[in-house]
Amino acid sequence: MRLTNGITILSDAVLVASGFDLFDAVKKEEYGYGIYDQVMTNADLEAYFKTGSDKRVTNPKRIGFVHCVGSRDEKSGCRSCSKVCCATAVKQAIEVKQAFPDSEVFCFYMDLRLFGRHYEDIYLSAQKDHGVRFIRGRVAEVSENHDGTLLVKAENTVAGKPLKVTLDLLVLMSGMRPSVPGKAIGDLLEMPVEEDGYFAVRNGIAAGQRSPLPGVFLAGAATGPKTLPETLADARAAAMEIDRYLTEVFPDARNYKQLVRERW
Amino acid sequence: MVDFGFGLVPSSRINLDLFDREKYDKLTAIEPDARICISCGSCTAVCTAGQFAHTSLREALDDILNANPDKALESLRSCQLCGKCAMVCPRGINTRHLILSIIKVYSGE
Amino acid sequence: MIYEGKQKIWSEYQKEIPDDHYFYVRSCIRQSFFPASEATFLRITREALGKDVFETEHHTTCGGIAYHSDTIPQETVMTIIARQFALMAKHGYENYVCSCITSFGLYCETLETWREYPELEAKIKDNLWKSCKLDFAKPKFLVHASDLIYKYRKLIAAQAVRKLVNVHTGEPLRVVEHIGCHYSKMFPSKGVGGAEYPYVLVGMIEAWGGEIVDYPERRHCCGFGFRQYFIKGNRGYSLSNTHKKFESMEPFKPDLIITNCPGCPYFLDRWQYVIAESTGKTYGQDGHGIPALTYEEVAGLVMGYDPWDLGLQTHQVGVEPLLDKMGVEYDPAAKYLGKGGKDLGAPAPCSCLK
Repeated sequence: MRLTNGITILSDAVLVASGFDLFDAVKKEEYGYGIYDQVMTNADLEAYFKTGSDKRVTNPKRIGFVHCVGSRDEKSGCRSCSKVCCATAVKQAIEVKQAFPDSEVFCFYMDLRLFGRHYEDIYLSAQKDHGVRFIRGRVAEVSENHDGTLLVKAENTVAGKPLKVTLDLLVLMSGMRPSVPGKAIGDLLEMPVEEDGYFAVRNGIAAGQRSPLPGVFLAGAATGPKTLPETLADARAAAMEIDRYLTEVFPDARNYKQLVRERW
Repeated sequence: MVDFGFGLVPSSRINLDLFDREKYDKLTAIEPDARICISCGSCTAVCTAGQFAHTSLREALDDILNANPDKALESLRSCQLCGKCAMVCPRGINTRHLILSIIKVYSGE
Repeated sequence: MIYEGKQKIWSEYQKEIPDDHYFYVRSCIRQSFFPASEATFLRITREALGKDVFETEHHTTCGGIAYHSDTIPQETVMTIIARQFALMAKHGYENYVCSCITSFGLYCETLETWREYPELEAKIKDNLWKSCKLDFAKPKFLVHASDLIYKYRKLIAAQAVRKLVNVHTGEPLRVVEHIGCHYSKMFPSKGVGGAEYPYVLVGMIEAWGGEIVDYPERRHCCGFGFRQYFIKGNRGYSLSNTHKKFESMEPFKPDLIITNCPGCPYFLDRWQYVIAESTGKTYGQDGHGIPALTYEEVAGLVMGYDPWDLGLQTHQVGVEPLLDKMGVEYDPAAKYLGKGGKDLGAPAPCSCLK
């Protein structure tokens, strides 16, 4: 392996942990990210929480969160669920409510997919303690009013009726897409990729962290959308797998090539 | 004015801009559990009155949030306060108190 | 509104529009709604710009109205379309330009269907030979007439005698653009600028000095909707859609609406009268309506053509306030005179709409 700083490394195992790219929300043209002044992404909002400054966030009274932006959406090239956005939206909705206690916060969701320990508690708390309103229905179209506020259209699928609401700020929960730089590394290694653009694992879920290529291991979002606990578990598992691989195969240097073939 | 034999059709669209936040805050002040419904429909499924006349607490809560409190009151008009919905609510909402609170706040009775 | 964001999208939806040599087909309903628009298209392209635009009296309807009203099957409509294409090839053309948006959408749909199902294309080829003894052909380029005026917008601006500017204030006119649904909603890549932020009319307005108004219900249908209008019992839905658009654009105070579809200028024009006469509400200044013009009419105005030659007297909403703003000279007494000065008779006055 040759690194960008010119150093060459000889290695017996490689761990590809190339992560993910955030879905480019501009592609969802109907939401007007990059066109309407008051539309931002989950990443933009996170940056605002960190820096405390974003010209879009000026004491908003009504804020909407759009779940599944670039997720579960074949039109934008991504059929799968990005796994983390529901929990992130609920978390960010609470944070927005804490930052602007007078505000009204709406989450537009198709399904709330935040299973796992504590997540239901966060959801309950968002409703009970913070009064976040959850509306079942995907936001279909956004436009800008004369005063710069946003007109947001969705269906309330529980009520079975179209709905409109005027908002001061709209946050798009951009999903996970396969990493483009990661793909470049994969191309160098000729790593097989599945239809969804993420790297293939050797044998479905049973193979753990092994790729179809001997000596190449995978962890984290390189093999699909992952939550933080899953990524941490992947990292530990990969370290153990690589350790076992090196211990099993390499002590016998004379016939290691044969062993690699047999034991991968 | 001219009668053309047709005219503007009223919109069936929910307009959240008309939502009465003040009244809703009044409701949640006396019954905070109004906020935690997850629209599962259990209450409606077992409603004694609902088998015969349109009655649905789930729908009533949604109607309030959708700026249509009159329809919410209509959905609760036939309620007998039997309490069956309280038994099945997965979030443990005190449904009888919630129903009475809705009527109190929104019909002024 | 971030203009650069729109420019980025516009740059991604550009289509190839050949410069010259077109086979032109007219629209069924435009010839009765706004007959001078198609004449103006030919006047601009042939006379002012010297382009080769051919038309034949042997072409027919595309069948779109019947198709969208569920009265003829798709194979029939495809055979009608195949005949139109065959006429194009017979006269030695390979670029096809149509006046109607419904036709344009239907042509796109048909070509895509043939691409997807070659066996259906073969069947239509057979149908065409059996019914008309014509050789099957497909256009190399299919464009809508507004694509072509968009392509020529700067040439038109170079010959223009006036701009879309209020001569009294020097301010650009505030223009609402309305795109026919079937222009790019079905196939976003076939329209200049795509479907969410179409550029085809915006480009004209920019080139001719106007200011574009983007209002919340811009993407909403004009209200034509075929079945919503054809059946009287449904007509209230048609009217309500148009009403929704006007309520949405009202705060922006537009001076003019420009359209590229046969139905849209008609409904945006006539329903203003119905709304005014049945509810008392008007959307222009001082009890006037907002003129809803075709792109050819707007092009004709900037080129300095006489408004009555452009057929602006066939609009329900009076265009005089617009003409006054633009500094267009016109003879009020000639408004309802036909060819050779024949008096066509003025319509009865409206009670609410000025």
